[in-house]
Amino acid sequence: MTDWKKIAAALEPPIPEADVETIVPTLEALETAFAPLQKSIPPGGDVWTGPEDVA
Amino acid sequence: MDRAGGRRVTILEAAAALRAKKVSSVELTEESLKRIEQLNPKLNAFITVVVDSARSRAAEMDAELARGADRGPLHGIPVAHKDLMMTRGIRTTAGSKIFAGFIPDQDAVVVEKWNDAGAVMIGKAGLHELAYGITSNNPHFGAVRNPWDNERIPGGSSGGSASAVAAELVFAATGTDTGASIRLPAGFCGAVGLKPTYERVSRRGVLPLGLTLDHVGPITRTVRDAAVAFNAMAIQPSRCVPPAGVDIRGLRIGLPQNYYFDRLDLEVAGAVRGAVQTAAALGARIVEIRVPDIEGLNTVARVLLLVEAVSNLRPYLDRRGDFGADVLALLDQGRLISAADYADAQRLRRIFVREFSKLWIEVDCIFTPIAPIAAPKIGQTTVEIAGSIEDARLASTRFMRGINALGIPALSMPCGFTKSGLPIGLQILAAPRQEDQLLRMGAAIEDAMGLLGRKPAL
Repeated sequence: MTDWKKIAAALEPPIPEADVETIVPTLEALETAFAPLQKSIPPGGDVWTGPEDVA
Repeated sequence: MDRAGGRRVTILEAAAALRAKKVSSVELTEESLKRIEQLNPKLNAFITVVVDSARSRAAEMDAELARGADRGPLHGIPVAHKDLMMTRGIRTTAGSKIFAGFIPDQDAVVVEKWNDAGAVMIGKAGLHELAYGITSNNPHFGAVRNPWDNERIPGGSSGGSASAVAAELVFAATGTDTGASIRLPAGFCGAVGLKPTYERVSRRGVLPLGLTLDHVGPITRTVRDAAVAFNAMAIQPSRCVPPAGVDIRGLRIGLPQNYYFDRLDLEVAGAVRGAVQTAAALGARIVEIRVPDIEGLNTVARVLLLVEAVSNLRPYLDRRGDFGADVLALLDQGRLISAADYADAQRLRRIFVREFSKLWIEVDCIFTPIAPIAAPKIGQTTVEIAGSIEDARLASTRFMRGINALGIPALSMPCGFTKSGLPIGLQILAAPRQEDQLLRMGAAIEDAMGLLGRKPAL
């Protein structure tokens, strides 16, 4: 898992440690949901171009 | 104006009465101001009310009509703008402490368009701070309240717009929708909300939240009013308003067999299925479909919004004390997501758009609930749905959030009430640029279900 506290400490302006503690569970859950999706991206997959993009 | 035997008076009825000289814009405006004076202390739907300019504008609109200069159905109609639409010379707070003193020197395009259509702006409607949340429980301007139960949220972020329309303080209001923010408050307040196709309504002059997710649209009392209000704000409008007795025979309605009906309140499920049956009885064809991974799509939309919101609000990030706790927590989350993750989210978004586009070969529209629940209480952070406890914000938006990443049009409209008298919302989705089809379908269901007679007891 990502070390959110380490990243937060490097930001400017910083995020106070107590505030990081409160959001870590949410970020961990988001990472858990997002990581498998990322693995499904095909090589060379392009970014969104608008709502009318059809397969 | 006569309240149509207790039923909600529509823009189209008021427009007809104006032209028949049964009522004037000044009278409509005075009635609107009177209701705001009576009810806004209870609802807190408005941040700013512009009494003098509304009166003079109404008189001007009456004078124009009298000399035959007719701007169309919004001419002389009292409206509100969500308080993140820039209004020249009138403060535009975005519901935030940071912009509390911001007085723009120009109008947003959508404000300009409704002005050109003859609308009379009554004021600026309250919202969730920076449009970044769904409760409209604003730490700087107070909680906006739901007209059907003042202890409950109106939804958000366009909570003031929906509350004002549902309580008949104005006929229509503008809203923005980045992850549910037009559709959810419309659904929770028993109003109609249209989130158009991405960029069918200009975002210029609207204080941004999610650069590629923000949509501007109307909140109204009826579906046909939504058509009128949308036509007056859209880029290249069709000018189509569904006629009386609109025919939906043969239209194919997609009824999801996965996700949307898996985990929700039984009263909500029953009301939405009732709308499906109504459409079938009117001759629409019900097609069972399977939708792509909506939880995955919601995750992608969350990653996009968390990062885009930080990008917009970066200049103010050192003013931590000026943000409410919930907004600050979301901004902090967004700051911790990497650029590579954001790019991946945009790549995944394209995959989802293409997967979803295949559905439009099978069906013309898709019916889903707006949310798995009716409006929660103010301050309620969790909800119980089918025996499990969920975060109230994520639960309330899980049927809508991902739709913003697709950019397709979506209509929110009432389809019933809970036993405790809270509105239940139906969401109808369609292919890009098919707003007319959504509005035809919605108008047919609205006519057949006959829910307009029910109003909040204020």
